[in-house]
Amino acid sequence: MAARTKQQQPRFGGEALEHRRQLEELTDSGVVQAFLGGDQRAFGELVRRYDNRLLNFVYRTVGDRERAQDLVQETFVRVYRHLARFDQSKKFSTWIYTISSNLAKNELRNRSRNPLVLFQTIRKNWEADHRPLEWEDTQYKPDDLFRKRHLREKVEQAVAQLPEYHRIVFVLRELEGKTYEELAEITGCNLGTVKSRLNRARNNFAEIVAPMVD
Amino acid sequence: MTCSEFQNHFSDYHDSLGDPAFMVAASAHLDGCPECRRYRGVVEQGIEVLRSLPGPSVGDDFLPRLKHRIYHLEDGPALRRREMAGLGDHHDHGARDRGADRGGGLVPPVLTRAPEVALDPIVVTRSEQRVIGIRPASPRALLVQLAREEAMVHRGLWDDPLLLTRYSPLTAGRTRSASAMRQADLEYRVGG
Repeated sequence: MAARTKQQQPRFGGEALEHRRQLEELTDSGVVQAFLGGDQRAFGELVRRYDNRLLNFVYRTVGDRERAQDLVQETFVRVYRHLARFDQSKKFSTWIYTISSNLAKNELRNRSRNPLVLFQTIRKNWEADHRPLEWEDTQYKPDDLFRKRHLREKVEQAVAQLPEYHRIVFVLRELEGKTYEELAEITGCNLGTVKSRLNRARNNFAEIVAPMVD
Repeated sequence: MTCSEFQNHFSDYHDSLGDPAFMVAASAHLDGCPECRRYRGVVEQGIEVLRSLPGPSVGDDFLPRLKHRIYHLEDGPALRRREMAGLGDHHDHGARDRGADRGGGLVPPVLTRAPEVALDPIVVTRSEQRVIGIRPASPRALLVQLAREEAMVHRGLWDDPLLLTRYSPLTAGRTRSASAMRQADLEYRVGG
């Protein structure tokens, strides 16, 4: 790891802002190289790029927002520790999603061993029943509003009801837009398995959602 | 192509991954099959709704917590190394120092060994005398003290014009005028 003196670190307002702009313009690979070259602020750039994306993925996978946030944090800690070992011929996003996906799978496995009722699951339904209608689109009639809200709930439930392995590929494909090759790498499966899981996930999803769709 | 064949290979059609012959056959099947058209509509509309759902955002404490965890990242391994070397439980911050050498803003430099502190010796010639409670010197002094306390209780807050003008909401604290103060003092003298 190349050493970088403290004088080279941008410290003050304008200089730091300019440095941040420079980092923003870099590709993931460039930011990784900057960090490995000793620029600690580059790690902050990686966090900014991936925190909410990973949170969305992990939240859809484990269904608990607080826990998802902990897992995303753990992902970044692992990235920090092992970035020097990252094979830079691969895509950084695939690597970080692989770490997140493994953590989410472990979480689900642990949860199946020690089942507990999540307060958030109860609260989610409560919120849906008590959410004021005026925050919704006023162009719709009450029936439409109810149906729209119900459809959203059904869609969320449908994702949550998918089996673990189907859910991960479904969320990564539909929400994160990953290619089949990336899915194979993240899940550690071959392309055939990925295709099969995704197709089954879509079938299950359609079955649950169908009654609510015209 | 049958409906089950179409639905079993729907992903190939949906993501345009099938070979040209398959894609033509699937399109032809869709044109003539309202059930499979509905199936495709359900999947596409459901996914559209899923994508429109607001995603969660990390909380305000996310970054500070992450920085804190990274700051203490080397603590565990460093302690284990220290224990394995049989050097007791002093914190070895060498790893953190190495991090600082890398130019890290997250890892400030700290001491590498336990500090040694030398203090002057304390010489004791006699035991410390502790006062427990307050005892009046004589019955007369006790009476004087009681009378003084009684007077303080009777005087109270409202008998003191300075306190009255200082803390009254009507005089508004700092904006009270000098004349108000003089008047209060006068009234106190006349009344007293």
